[in-house]
Amino acid sequence: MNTKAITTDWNTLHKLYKGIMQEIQDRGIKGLTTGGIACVLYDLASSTKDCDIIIPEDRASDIADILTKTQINGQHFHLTLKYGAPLHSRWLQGGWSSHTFIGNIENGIDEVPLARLDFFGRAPRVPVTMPDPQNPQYLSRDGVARMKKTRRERDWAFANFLGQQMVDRRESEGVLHITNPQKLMEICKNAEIPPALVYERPILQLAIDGNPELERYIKAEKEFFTQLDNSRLLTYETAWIPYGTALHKESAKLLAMDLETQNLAMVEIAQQELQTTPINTYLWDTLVNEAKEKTSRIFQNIDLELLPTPVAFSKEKNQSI
Amino acid sequence: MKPTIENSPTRLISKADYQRELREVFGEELAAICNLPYEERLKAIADQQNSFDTPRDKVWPAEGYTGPDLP
Repeated sequence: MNTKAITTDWNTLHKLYKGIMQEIQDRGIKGLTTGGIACVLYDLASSTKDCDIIIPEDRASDIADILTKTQINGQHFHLTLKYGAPLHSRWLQGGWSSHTFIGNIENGIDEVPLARLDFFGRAPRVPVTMPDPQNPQYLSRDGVARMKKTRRERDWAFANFLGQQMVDRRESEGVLHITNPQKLMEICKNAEIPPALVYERPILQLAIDGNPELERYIKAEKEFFTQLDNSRLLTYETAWIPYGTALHKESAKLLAMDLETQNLAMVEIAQQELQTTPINTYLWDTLVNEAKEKTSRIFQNIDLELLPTPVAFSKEKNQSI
Repeated sequence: MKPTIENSPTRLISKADYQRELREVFGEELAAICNLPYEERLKAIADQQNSFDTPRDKVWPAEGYTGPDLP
């Protein structure tokens, strides 16, 4: 086992990620890069050490093959044993993500990960994954902004600025993501907002009406998404525990394998221990309603009809332009 | 009748307001990096990240998340 330390230099990592993105494209796979690296492309400075890629789930085995053949300073990729599902369509279709890392392994534990590459089949909260027209290897600003509506406070700034960029680029969906009340009010004062967008984000009606309650409702909306993201992640974490327990019994053996073999072994375990779709439509509706109820306990006297009803994740495969 | 966002003859987001908010939220240094051309932005981010790259646990896992507790 190679335990030589490798560089954590971001240039090296970025080159590695770009190489993998290129290989994905060369194989005709419609992969879409999202997360922090997409934010950098979109004129936002994001401190990111990892790379997130949305893939068509039926190409998961190709991704495993690419990662197995990728190395840096003699180090290879492994699937993490800490969270996530194997790289397989059955679980990616159910909203799971697969997490891989490159780095040293000591005593069968991935203690020194230096690069991380995460894969999604169905992007959370994104109804349809569309590429950016100018950069078709990247998820659109709209998609990235939707994925950024998480429980992490710092993600919201990215959603807000991406929304503003979209409006500046004459993309009306940008108003779905702006969280600056003054700017939202100004845009809605000067431009006609399509009813479909008001349906998707009901608080736009407050901006259209010039209602001073807008600022409070934007805060409530963020709280709602935070609660919902918490519930979503907790559901997946709970479903993961029997699988994770089984993985840990085999950890040294699994991490000694090449990624492709490791993935096959983890699929075997997942077939016994990992639910494919922890969140179905019925449960998602319940989680949405619970998140609204929790929000109403924090923000007194709010009209719950003004909170959105996002999708759990995209229903269709990646769209190509 | 108001124009749609797609057809608006004027800018709906003032560049100055956008920049002001960028500075308020990200701070002067990151806001300046955002305004660099792509390749220079990459280099500036690399320089910035490499300057606080250690210890590793500051950046890994990204959110300090190590997975659910196992029984």
